[in-house]
Amino acid sequence: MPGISTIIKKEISDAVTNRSFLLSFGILVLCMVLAGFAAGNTFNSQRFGLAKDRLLILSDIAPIITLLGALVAVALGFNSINKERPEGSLEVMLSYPIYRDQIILGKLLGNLVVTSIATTASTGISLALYLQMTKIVFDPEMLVRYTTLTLLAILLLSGYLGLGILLSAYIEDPKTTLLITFLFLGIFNSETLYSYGQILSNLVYGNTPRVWGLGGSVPVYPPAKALQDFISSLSPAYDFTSFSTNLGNYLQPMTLNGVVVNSRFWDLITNNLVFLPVLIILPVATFIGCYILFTRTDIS
Amino acid sequence: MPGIFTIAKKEFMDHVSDQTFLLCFGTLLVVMVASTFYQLNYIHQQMVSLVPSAGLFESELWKDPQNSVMLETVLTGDIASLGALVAIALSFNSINKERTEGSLRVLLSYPISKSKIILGKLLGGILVVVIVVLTSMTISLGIEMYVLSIPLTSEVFLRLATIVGLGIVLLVFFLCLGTAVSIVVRDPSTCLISLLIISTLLQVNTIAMILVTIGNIFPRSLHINGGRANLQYSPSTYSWQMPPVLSQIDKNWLRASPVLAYRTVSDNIFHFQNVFVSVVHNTVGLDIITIEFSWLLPRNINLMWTPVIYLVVAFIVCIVLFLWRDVD
Repeated sequence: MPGISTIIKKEISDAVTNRSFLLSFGILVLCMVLAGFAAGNTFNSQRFGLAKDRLLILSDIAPIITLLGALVAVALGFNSINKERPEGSLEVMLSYPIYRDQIILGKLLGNLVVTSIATTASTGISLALYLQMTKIVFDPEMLVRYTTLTLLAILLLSGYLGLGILLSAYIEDPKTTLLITFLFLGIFNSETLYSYGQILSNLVYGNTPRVWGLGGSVPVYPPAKALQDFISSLSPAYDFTSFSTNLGNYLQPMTLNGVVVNSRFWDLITNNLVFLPVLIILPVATFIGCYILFTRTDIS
Repeated sequence: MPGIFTIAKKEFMDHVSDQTFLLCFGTLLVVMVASTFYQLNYIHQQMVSLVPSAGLFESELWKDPQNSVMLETVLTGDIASLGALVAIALSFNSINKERTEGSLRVLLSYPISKSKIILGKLLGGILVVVIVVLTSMTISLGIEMYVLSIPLTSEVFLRLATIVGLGIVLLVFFLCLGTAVSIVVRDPSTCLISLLIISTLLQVNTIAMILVTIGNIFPRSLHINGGRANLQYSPSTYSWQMPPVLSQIDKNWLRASPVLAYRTVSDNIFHFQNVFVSVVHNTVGLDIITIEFSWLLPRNINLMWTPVIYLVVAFIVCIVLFLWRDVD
């Protein structure tokens, strides 16, 4: 354990002096402040109107987390291993009495801590500004929803961080790692998986009747819908955005296929469970992948 | 001129045989085909709901404003995000890699001027960008036109040519930007992450968000909403809510990002008709007003200039930096 904690401390101190991380984190905070301001302004102007979403901010900051939060996670992860290989610092580290698995666990945990702090701080600043502008009383329901969004954001960004570190362990060139990570983000942030889900569902079950649903049209026939939903939910960005939107709109109950998905918190959790598996599996799988790859491949 | 073409040819061959470029281009194509089917599915679904009520010919349902905008809106989004990534992949190490390897010094030992080298490099990159945009847009729009049986009339062609042309301008801007940053920043990794940050910021339109925030902090002379300009910017929807008197300011602020200007122009010009319900002698009917390209063009020309201006500035900066900076 002392070995791991030393590596964690080193990773944290490396991150806070890393220019790429500081730049992307600064931009994330700036945009979160602007989004908090914009959401507060929108709420104030609609105070007497029909649309009154007290947590409007949650659905407004979700796209910023998927784009700029992803930058923070990728900036931390993309060269965390392959940069140290040519510099020889990995070999030096292994000459000390420390195991390989302690090094990789320390790296993963250190970067995870930094990502979590960056996410919590940026969402917290945005929410604080929003609450200050709108003078909304922060009740327990809001606290639970805000905490859920922050946890989901940490899960999403941990997944991206893990993906970056995994590619960094596999690919020797940091530039190629960065580009490939961004290609993944491009696919996750577009309608690609949703669309291929639709195509596959049509191929397997034929052109069944469709109704409007989350993200676009969904088949009425349950197995076809299940297949399309499964492939769509493989995108963590889609899952995160869908869940965050439902979290924020709780004063305007939304019905999806006859089921109210967002009225009470526990209803919301149970009706949005479909969005959780990939958000949980991605960080777990990438972290396990990093561990296996790092402990079983040659360092030099 | 022969010197420029020789460099351009070398650059072109280097790019099209580069694995990173091919990977990015392949991903762009996969995503754009997916977006095409997403749009087609949306239009089909929309057509089903329109058929009983619209009173339009079924073959012309794609002209309905909700459908026509869906012919391109996701595609232009892909060009602005993943297409920009392709342009960045082409340019982020175009100068600094050659400087580190010493090939730039070797190149300058030949009887060729610095200006010809940079122009040749840019020309080679531009050719690749043109092929990328033309290929991806032709495949996607071709599938849509075939499936929806859209005839290639002059009205359709002019709109398609505009979004393809502006797409090329946007990606050439990213190419010039990448080359300029590559001249200034020596480390390719730092150069790449800087470019990705800039590109992401332009997608979110941070400049406009900052301007809107400043506009809201300082009270304006217009006494709206308690003395403050009622301008909001919602990053999730790109929607702008404002009183009509501020529409001109809004338009100017949209110019802040070439990406958003491109997407707005594309959405605006893909309107073919407006349908109004009219009551004449107690008879309810539908008035269909055709919107011609020649009417739309002058109304969007302000926004069209935005990517062009960005491109010209980036191009000039790129040339000036390369001529002034030391090769070592």
